[in-house]
Amino acid sequence: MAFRKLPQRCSKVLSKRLLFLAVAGSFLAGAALFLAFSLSTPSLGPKKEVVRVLTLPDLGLSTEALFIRHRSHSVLSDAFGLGPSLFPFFPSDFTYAPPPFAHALQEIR
Amino acid sequence: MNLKMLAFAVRFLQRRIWKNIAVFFVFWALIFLVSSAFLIAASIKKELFATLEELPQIFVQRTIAGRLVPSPASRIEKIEQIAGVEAAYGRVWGYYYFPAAGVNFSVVGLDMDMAGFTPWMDEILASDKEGMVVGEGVKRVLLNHYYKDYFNFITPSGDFLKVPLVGTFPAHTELESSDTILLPMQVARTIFGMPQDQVTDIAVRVDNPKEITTIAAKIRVLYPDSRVLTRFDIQAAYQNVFDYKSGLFLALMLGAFFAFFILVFEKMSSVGKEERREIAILKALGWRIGDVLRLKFLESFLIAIFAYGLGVVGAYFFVYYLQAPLLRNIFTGFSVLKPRFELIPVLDMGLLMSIFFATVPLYLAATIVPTWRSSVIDPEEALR
Repeated sequence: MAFRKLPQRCSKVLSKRLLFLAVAGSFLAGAALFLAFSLSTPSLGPKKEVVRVLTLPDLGLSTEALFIRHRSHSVLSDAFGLGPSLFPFFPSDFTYAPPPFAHALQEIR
Repeated sequence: MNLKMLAFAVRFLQRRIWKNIAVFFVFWALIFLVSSAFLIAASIKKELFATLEELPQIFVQRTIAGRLVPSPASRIEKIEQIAGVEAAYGRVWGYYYFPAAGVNFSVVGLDMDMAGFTPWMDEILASDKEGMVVGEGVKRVLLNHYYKDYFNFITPSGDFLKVPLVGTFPAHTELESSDTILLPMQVARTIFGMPQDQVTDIAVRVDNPKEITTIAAKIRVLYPDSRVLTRFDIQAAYQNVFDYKSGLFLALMLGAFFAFFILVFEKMSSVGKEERREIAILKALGWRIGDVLRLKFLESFLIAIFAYGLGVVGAYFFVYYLQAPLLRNIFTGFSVLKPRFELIPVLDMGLLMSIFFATVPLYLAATIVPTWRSSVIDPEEALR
């Protein structure tokens, strides 16, 4: 809008520069953000140590139901019984079949 | 690339700036939401899979009538004799329900004879061998119920068992340890009322990864009532669970994608009289259809690439700097013992590329096709 009032040539040069700055700026900003976050987060080392001591696999996101926490180890007939990808508490039991190529299908009874 | 054409395209965008900003904003929001959801899933998955590598290779559990039951401890020795097994040991672990708070603690018994713990563990063990180490979540719950330095477990026989609190897990391991109580194995047995000759299940360490499947098969033959889980099974299962969850989100987003493309197609196919005149004037000035298409392509490409770039950058900022408020609840769900955790950064080029190729080319097609339709009209007819 305000652009149009500028002299033609000036605006052309300006828009090109703006374009370049915007492209370069957004990519640089992205790279800087990523670097900053990856440097600021603690390493996985202590987490691995905890899992090595506990020898239990799951993340403690939800702990209310036995078949959620350590579900791979606890209730046979729920999460892993029908197939490793089935959530018995979602309507997934009848809409989503485990893939036939899943190795786990033969391994887990 | 023809820079003058690019500058011309930018000027064209400026002519209808509000319409273009609206399309840009919708596109940006779409990319932002989709990449945020996938980044959260990728972060949790990365953390899970990195820690899975530390697990024992095989777990042997016993089933009776399709239910898990404790295994006899005598099986440990038999399993250890199988060639290729580095070590087999019984584990005593389970859940302890704390009714006052309505939470399940994961109680894990630790074999004190096992050597080679981590430095922070050694410190705790040296101080008091009979105490318990708890996760931050457990500590919060206990403090809420005025248990500051001990906890009273109720054993199956109804007695109280007072266990002193000797330490906590490192704070940033909360995702792994939030609901966990680590105790000496003997104390865990007392809490669960489990006899000495039984273990919850058996963990088996195998050095050579190529032997895992064979050893698992041998254990299955040795104890037909056992359920043998390899680490690979667990990995495959989690892969499926996470694919399912982000797939579910994608399925929900598909509707939004579709609506967006319908919107774009509608907007572009009802090319206004004015725009048709513009194209006709360009053609009358000697532009070929290819040139007009190139101009329109550049226009929509500029919008798409900026929306995509800013969407992805915004998603990274939202997920890793702001820690994805609201959106992470889709993945974490409800829980009393909710762990406080930081999402760890993931740079997954495959993911970014697939989002790019799922959105940008479709958008380009949705704008190019209507332009082509209006640019093949005879300019004389369009100008009249």
